[in-house]
Amino acid sequence: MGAGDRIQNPERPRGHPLGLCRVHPQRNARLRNRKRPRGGPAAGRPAAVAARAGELHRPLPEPLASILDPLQYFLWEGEQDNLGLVTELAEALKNLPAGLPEEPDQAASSQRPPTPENGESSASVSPGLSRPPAMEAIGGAVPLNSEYYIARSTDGDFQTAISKRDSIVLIKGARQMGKTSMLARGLQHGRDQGIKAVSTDLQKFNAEHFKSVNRLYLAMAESIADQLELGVEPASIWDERRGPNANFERFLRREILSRLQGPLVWGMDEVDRLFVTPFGSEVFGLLRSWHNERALDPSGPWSNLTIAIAYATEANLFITDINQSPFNVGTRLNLDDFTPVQVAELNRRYHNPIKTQDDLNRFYRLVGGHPYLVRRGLHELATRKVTFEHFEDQAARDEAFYGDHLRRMLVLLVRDAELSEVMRGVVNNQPCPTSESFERLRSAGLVVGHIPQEARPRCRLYTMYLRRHLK
Amino acid sequence: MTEPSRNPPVDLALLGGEFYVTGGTLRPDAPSYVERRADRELSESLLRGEFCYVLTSRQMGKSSLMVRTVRRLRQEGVAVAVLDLTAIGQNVTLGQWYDGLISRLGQQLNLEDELQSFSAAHPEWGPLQRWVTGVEQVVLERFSGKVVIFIDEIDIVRSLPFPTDEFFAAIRECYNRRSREPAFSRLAFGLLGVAAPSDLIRDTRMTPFNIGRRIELNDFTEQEAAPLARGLCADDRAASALLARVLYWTGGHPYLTQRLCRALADTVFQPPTASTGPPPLAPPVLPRIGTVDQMADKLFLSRQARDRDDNLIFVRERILRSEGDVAGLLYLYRRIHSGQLVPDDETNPLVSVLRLSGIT
Repeated sequence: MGAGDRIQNPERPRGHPLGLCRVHPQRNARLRNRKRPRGGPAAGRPAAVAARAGELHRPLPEPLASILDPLQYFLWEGEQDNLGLVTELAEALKNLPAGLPEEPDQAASSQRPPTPENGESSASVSPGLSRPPAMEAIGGAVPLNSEYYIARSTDGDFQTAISKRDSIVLIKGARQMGKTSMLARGLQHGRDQGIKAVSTDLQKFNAEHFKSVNRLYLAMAESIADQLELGVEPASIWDERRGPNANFERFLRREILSRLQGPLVWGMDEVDRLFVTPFGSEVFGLLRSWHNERALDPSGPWSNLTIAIAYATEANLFITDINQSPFNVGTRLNLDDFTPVQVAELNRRYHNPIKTQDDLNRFYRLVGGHPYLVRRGLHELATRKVTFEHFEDQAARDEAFYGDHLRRMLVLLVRDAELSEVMRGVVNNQPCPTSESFERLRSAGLVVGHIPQEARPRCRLYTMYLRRHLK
Repeated sequence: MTEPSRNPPVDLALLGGEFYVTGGTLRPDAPSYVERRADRELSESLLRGEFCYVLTSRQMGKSSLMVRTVRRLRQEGVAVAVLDLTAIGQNVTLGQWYDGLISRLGQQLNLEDELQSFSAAHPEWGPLQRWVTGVEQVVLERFSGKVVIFIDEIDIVRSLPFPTDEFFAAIRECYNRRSREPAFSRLAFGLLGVAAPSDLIRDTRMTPFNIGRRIELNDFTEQEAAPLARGLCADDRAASALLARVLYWTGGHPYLTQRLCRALADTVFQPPTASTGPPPLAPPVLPRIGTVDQMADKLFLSRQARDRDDNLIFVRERILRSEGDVAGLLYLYRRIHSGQLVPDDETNPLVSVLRLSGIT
């Protein structure tokens, strides 16, 4: 699906290959470096409807590429697609005047590292499918309507927690385990039930916002007020004579909860950014006090608030105090890797780029069930049409498709010389010497096992890569 | 093993772990709430107008006790406010902190606007005076009956950027004024936290703790814990046998007991997986005594537990990262562990660290 890999509209109606989207310049390094596409939207409105015929597997030449790549276009492979194309065109035109949905900032977008490899690939299509699945960006949140989202048991647990209106839900897992995607789906599940839902991605806040707890609360309040469109201006309510906690608490209670008169889910993403601030425990203390408030006054305003907190456990690589956990309260959800069955299912949804069970087993050994690695790998195999042997051969190379992921892991790891040394041992079949180092590596998603003596690298890819780089 | 149940039916939605609460405050109506002597002692003392404090280690059920007591006092017609100090924060000035107290007091008693305009009308006063006079002239004025103010997470005062001795002195002052001003006899304070009185205030002339009542929050006795059996299985006799074994491991520690019970209940009422097929209509298999042992071993004594269990981590951190003499602490604990009696000396900081960690 052309450049579908770099544009996403998470709320695009399902089954519209002609989805037309606003270009998000910050989403992609390549886009950032060039001008806004000609004919492209100035205010988020689509300006072109595109279909592509012939040579579907090759990148478009310039200047066409810079105009069309940001759009998702229909693929026409032959006459069998005629009817589909016409139907989709008609649909798209019919929907245009009403305007396509504005891209909801909160739904799924966060500034993830771009995957430059994607930019080169035009997606391939399995023959015989009149409407091939759109290839999507790998990395960042999986769009809400994606055919490639594999629901895990934690998805159900999270949705139950939202329906039950739990006060605090903690979603934790290492980076790229699918926290943001799960959060977005949970919020959507809430919306479907008529629950208001907002989300705040702390990754979007800048250093200025983290200068003081007061600035942070104000930024959070603005994020919430914006999304609910209640016409509240937090800065005008903020009273400097009050303490930061008092201001934020008062804002939520009086300006949000009492106005809504109904349940609200507040998703907070990338909360690990708070761990490294001097006021992290103060913020968590405030959230916990609301939880306790519910027990005191079950009919009070706080019973209407569910806070879902997603954070990456990599923080453990540089926070030496492993016990710095935000809460001892709330529902805890730990994101698991995909099972072999789930990996096989995803392979099927990609139209079986891995052909044999034997290769599937090898793939599973290579990347484990790591959600990002699995998805990225299948995407690579599906779009590049390379043999599995070739794929396997390239996997651990710095310049290849897993390069970004592996380098980032290495960069984080080598910040701590001692931990690097431990990891070097692990990839060379030695156990972790201490339970502290084991726990840190385990929660960072680098090793698996139950006890330090049984520590082993999470997957063969990590072994291959780290053996070469940790010498 | 599966005798027909003679018990009143238990709400199935509460089974399978939901019955028990591990971590966080139990709602006042939670079925697994365990009443202890402290429950009666705290509410009765507060009703008599005494200054009470519950200073004990974490996860002993302080907040749950408070929530229950609040409910009971309200049923008696008492006006109750809970001031959770974590909600007020630490990055505050002295003025903001007292204003935070006043504002929360107002919220809890539905006097937010009155207290706010009262404060605004007296800008010439210091923050402490606004707080005390607000209590006196707004709160005690508005309510003709008894008023109880709880201050939760009191140990936060140690992390504030200004001294709080005056705050405690003011509480004591409220008690001293009773002889002259009868309205103060209607006011009582309850303090809760993880601290020793001497951590909170140094000056013994100003401290309220020597005029108040310390409420001991002890581990569950076998008799007190009896209601917990109900969540384990439907058969009375089997359930109390299981519970007795649970208490053998946990010694009645509130969190550890709930934790182990919850894990047991989860094994019984595990949702069916694909491999086990549809839920059986027959009653689930009851856990055996051996299951309790295995479960305790896995939850608390395995290598993973060392790094996972909240309570064990807390105890370890509190002991090993304590500011004082760690070697002395461990030595003292070894003596206790080997069965020697050690005087419970409140002035000995090592004793108080051991007590607040929950290990003794």
